[in-house]
Amino acid sequence: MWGDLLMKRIIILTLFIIILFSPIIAHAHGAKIEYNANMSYELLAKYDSGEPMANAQIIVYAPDDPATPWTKGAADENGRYSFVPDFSKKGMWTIQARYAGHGANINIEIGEEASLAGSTGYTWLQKLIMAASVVWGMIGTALFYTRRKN
Amino acid sequence: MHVPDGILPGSVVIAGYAVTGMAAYISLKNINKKENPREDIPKASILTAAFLVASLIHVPIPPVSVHLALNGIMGVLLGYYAFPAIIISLFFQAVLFGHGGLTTLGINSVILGLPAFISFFIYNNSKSFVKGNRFRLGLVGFVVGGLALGLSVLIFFLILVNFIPANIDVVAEKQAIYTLSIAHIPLVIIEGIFTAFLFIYLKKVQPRLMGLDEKVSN
Repeated sequence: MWGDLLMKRIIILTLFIIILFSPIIAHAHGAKIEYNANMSYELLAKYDSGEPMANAQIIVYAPDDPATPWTKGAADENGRYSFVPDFSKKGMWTIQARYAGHGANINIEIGEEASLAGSTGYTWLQKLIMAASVVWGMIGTALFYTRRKN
Repeated sequence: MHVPDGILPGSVVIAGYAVTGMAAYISLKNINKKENPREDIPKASILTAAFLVASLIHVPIPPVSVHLALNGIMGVLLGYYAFPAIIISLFFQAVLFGHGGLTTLGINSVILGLPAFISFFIYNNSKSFVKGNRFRLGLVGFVVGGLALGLSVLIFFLILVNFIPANIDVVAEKQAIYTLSIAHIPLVIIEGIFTAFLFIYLKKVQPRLMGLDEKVSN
């Protein structure tokens, strides 16, 4: 009788000790992951010919002040430039690449409507079709004005 | 040499449109004085297309790439039609290909169109010097072709150097403008040679196009 009672107490005590120290045991095998959303935007500035805009000046405008540059910098030899925007300033960011009076602007939406990638310009096939359309239009104009009048 | 949108201040852009408007008005007024103003439209139309296509063919001259301008040829072959043709071509280049821009259409027309005018007047005044001589015609072609592009580069250079916004690295931008302008020197020579050969060829096959009816002498 007393033996059974003692056994029960020993078991309860053992369970209590296990429960008490279980977080420490578990912690010894645990792991955790921390993260910081430190996303950067990588820009690639190129000429229409496909050559990189080496050393182009890059000017970034935040949506809250489109007249004053938010940051400035220069692209590398391959026309690449990275920057980390202030994600609290949601809206349309404007980035200008400029070299010797040549350059381009791109608008990047940052916020709910943000997209992962984007570009300006056209493919060579699109350019070919557009150029052919204009040339054909000009030839048509020329033919119209050279037609014989009845 | 197409200045894109957002590079120049508003006052320069407006001034560009004012000069372009004036030049276009003078051109159209002189075209209307002709007996048949429509007669040269086919020629102007084809050369507008050639001008547009030429801007898409890039010649790599490190560290930049450049393209033939053809504005000297436009000036000589089209006369008063050249300036409107250049405006139309620049409009298509800006809208379709993003070469230049709509706000800078005026200033780009000034850069490429005014030298075309000058080429036209130089060529008209050198006809007595050419006298149907192939070598002299080639020489005049070289001068007007190279000069037109050279003047375009000069106007482009002067506008850009004098209107660099303060919020960018002015020294680096000036250096870049110098580099780009110097890179055009070989193209000025190439443009001159191309114009010379084109004039000689046109004189042989289509002398009326050159405004010269006499036969070519060797």
